[in-house]
Amino acid sequence: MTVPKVSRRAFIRLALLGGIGAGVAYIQHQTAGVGLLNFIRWSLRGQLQWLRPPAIVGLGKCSTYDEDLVSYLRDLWNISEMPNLRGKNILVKPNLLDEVDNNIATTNPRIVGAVLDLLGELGVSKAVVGEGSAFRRDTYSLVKSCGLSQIIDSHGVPFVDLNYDELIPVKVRDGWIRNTEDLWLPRHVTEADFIISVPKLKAHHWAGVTLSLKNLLGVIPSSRYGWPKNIIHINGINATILGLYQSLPPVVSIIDGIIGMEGNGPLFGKPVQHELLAVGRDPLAVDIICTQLMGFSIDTIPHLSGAAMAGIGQAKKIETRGISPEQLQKHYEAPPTL
Amino acid sequence: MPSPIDYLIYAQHESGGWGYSTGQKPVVEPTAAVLLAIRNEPLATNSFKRGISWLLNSQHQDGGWGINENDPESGWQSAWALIALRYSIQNYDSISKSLEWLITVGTLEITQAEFQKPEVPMRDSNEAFIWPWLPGQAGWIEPTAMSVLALEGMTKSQLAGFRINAALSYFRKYRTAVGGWNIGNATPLDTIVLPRAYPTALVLLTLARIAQPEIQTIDLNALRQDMQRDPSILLQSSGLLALRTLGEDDEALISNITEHQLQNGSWDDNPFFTAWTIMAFRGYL
Repeated sequence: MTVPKVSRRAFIRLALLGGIGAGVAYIQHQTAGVGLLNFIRWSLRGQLQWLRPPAIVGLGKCSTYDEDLVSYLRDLWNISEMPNLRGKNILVKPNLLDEVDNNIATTNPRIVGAVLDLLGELGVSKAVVGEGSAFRRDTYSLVKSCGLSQIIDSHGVPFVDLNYDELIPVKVRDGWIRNTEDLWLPRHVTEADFIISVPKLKAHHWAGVTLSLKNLLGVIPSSRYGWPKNIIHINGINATILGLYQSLPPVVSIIDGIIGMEGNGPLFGKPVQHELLAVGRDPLAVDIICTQLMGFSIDTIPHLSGAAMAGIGQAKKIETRGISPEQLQKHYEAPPTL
Repeated sequence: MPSPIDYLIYAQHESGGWGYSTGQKPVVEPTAAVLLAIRNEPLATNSFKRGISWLLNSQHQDGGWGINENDPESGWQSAWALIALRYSIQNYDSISKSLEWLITVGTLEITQAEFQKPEVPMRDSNEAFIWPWLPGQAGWIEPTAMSVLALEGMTKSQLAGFRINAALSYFRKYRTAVGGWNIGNATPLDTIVLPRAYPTALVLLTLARIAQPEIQTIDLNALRQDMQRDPSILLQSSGLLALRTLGEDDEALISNITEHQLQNGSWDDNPFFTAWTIMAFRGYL
């Protein structure tokens, strides 16, 4: 029996068809669950970031929480082309996930105090500090035990347990949160002109890192969605972070990386004397820089690589100011799942 | 100083329900908790009736409740509402509808349609049957405990009995290594988590009703330890109620909670926390 001979032209056609088929299969795999149109829209928006101005991220080196923190933050704010907050209504969102044996899992209260001092200098109309713990039924007891209550009381600023705030339905945007048209969000979130996300710099066993975007999950009200913010288990943590971010008022970032956390974060990791403060008006850009300063590639952090792909913030062009990244570079132990 | 009951009457929203803070619009969970707290109080008879009316008016056609009267999706709050309605005997239709919703609410693995068939659906894991925060999701400790408390003694449904037994197995499996319970899995992502007082108190209240011999000394120790770690009034009150239900009175704890009462008669200006404290002091849910 003779084997039919394949001409060169036929072979090229077959290879071309195979390539197209593989490309379609790849796109299908990448867009499963989100839809091809969303994927194309996000990809185009991501590429458009090349045409936009660079994001500015201010980096500072601060060795302890005993230093004049507001002075550091003021300098970083001024070099980072931050928005004008005069007369604005501000929600300050620290990370108060929970407390285990030590205080390194939460944003240091003195950083929150310095942010409140800075907001006073910037002439904001109103500031509140808000958080909704993912693991505790009463976030305020955590505010007291970590020492934050004394600081916010001394500033005359109220604390709002976002798990129990009055809830307002907000339309979900951009196709990341599925099976629902509305996201129920706390009134103090929806009514803020700006949210200042003030996370602790930490490795995270599920999301890879927890920085200013991941920190936003704390605004999801557990009284509606359950403890611990159970929507993330259905919609996926990465898609929820990105969908939530786009349903919120503008967010700017101030990162507490003076002591970070490596390994099994967000609760059980080890402290890292990082001495880093980072400030920026684009949370994605700030998180990308901080992730790199932890020694991780953003390709391994799905919510950051997804945001970069989809143009949810500026990932293509980032300019750092202040201390050079080389002076702040660390190599964190990766979380067990990374 | 006004009594806690005075505070709850004062904090009642004009529409009849209660929120999580003084003056907040009504929410199902605090409304149900307050109704439980005031149900035998002669001075609060009118408030109780208005609260029940708000609850009935907020019930969905499917028998469940959302977080408030505007939330269209029925969720875990339905168990709280049903527990409160048990003490309002005129509302058979409403109770019947809510029982049906709670017995057949879908989980991550089993849909409501499957639960509504005559035969009990089969799955290998008990976790397929326990109660989620919202329909179609995985089960967790708190909604499961509240649902069992709501169903216990209210129905002879085979499915309800089956799901309550599944809950019992789930409580056994997810007891932490030192006793007590956290919000769900005791070892998420291979990390050992500590027991927490609130879910532990809810499970103890549930086991006290359906399987008291299952309760172990380490559970009570775990409860007390987290109550020492976390001074939240909610944890102190719910923990105290669980302890007293099990015959373990604690005068020092009662004194400590009393010291934190505010001038307006409340704890933390919060009707939900105040309701828990009233129930803890009287010794029953």
